[in-house]
Amino acid sequence: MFRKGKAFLEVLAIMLHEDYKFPVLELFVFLFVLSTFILMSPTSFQAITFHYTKERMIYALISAQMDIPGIPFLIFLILVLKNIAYGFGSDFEKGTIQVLLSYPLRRSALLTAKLISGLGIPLVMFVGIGIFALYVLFPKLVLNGITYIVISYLAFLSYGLLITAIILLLVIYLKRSGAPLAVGMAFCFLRIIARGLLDLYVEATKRTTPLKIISIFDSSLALRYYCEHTIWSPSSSEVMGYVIISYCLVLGLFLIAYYYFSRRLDI
Amino acid sequence: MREIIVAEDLHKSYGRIVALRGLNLKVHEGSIMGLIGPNGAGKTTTIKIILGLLRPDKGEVYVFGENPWDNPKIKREIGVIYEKATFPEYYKVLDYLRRVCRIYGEPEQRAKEVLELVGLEAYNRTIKNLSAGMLQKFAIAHALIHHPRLIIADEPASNLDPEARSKLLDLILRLHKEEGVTFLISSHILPELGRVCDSVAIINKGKILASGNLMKLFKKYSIRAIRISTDKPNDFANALKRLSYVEDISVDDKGVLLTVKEEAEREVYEDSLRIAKEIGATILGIEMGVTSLEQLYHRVIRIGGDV
Repeated sequence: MFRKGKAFLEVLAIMLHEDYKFPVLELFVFLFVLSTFILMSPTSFQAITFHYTKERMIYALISAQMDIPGIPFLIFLILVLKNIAYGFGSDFEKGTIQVLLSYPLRRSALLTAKLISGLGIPLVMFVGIGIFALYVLFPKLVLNGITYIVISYLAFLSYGLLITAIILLLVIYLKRSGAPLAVGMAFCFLRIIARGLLDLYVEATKRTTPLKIISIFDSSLALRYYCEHTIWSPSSSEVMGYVIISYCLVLGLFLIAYYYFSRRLDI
Repeated sequence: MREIIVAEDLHKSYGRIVALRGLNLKVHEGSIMGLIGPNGAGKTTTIKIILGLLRPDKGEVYVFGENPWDNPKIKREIGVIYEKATFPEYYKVLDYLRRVCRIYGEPEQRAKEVLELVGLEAYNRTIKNLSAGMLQKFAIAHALIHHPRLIIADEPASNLDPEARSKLLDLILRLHKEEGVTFLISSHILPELGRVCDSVAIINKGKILASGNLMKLFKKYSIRAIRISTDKPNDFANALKRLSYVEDISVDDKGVLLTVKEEAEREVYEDSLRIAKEIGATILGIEMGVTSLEQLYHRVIRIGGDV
């Protein structure tokens, strides 16, 4: 007998099978675990030596694994770009999407399956391993500061999710894999360059407006200044505000992608 | 009989290119309808709109009484064979079809049944390693998994060898007869399509020029062709082309097929004997009153649909 939920799970299984053909996932998990521990160990040593506050220590530890150009974040981004830009884009280019759309599922369900496979799995893996590594190194810190850890992860992930939403929109609009892949990579480098230039500009002019604007797209910047208390010292509620705004932006882009894919897209 | 597909006044453009201009189409339950037309006529666009892959700019389409864009549940009743289907390529043939069985709630042994039905034995080969012909067989098996009531096929015989083509036509006729499956088949291979279709829709420049029961269309368009079997069909056809009463002429594997003005049927016989003598050909037989889908197609395209 046909059941809609079962059909969804089967389509999700098809997407997982294609996205994580052995040994992609296993290899990425290995690299991720390795790089997380390697990067966090000196940071933790530094944090203990300089007697960081709890919040600053959590920030330092999480930024070691999450901040661009950190290797763990790069691994996460490569996985997402591979699955969303290359994988989903190729489905359009090759015509696999037509076969998937011939199954009795709503288009929105198909996109959800793709996002769970392409983004959800790397995200769970990435955050899960990160928190586990933190727990192994600092069990008390994790137990006492879990709320701050969650907020820090949310802040650090906002830019990555923004890139994902943009490349998803591009894939759906262009029905191609190449251009979204290039744009995704460009956005990563853009962030590194923009951060460097921003630091120089702020140091020279002492103006904080650009920091506030960039924090809308990348709330980890507000978190950084909240912890470091240098030229700009946003309050904790301001940091929360930036996190919420950045996620509203991400959510808005994903909703546009859902609407366009479900209601407008000609295949 | 109930109408399974109803398309009303469909319009579709891709930028400046107009693909459909007020297309109307009806497919009745239990029929095998051929959708034929030249390249770029709008066949694939029509099929994609029927499948809910494209939205028409204007007009409505109903499949089993529902709008295919808004009601994915009707896909439970539809099997699709795409011309160039691409499946998730890292799956093995049998494994993928087993998963498709689970999508539709069919028992897993159905996967082997459909593979046997289409004559594809490479159960454990990865989909990406299938040849073009094997992939086409796989696509046909994939479309049959859930016992669909309607099968929409876009060039289903492309990439198939003559034997596999013939088997496909037998399979279509069998499914139609035994399970009452309705077919909408778009194809360029008219003689083979003519073997299975009971109705046809001829499309050109985004419009249906003629559609309906094949026999009625033959009658409406006065398709009474004459087949001349000869040992020199091409020379014969060239000579016949010069005669003023010849309307259409083509050469197939059985000889020369021509349509003539109704009053000229007697003259064909006499002129054929004369031409045979002139070019040194032997006439093996003359068959009057032959009906052919190819002749109908050429005639409808030439006169633009109206008689």
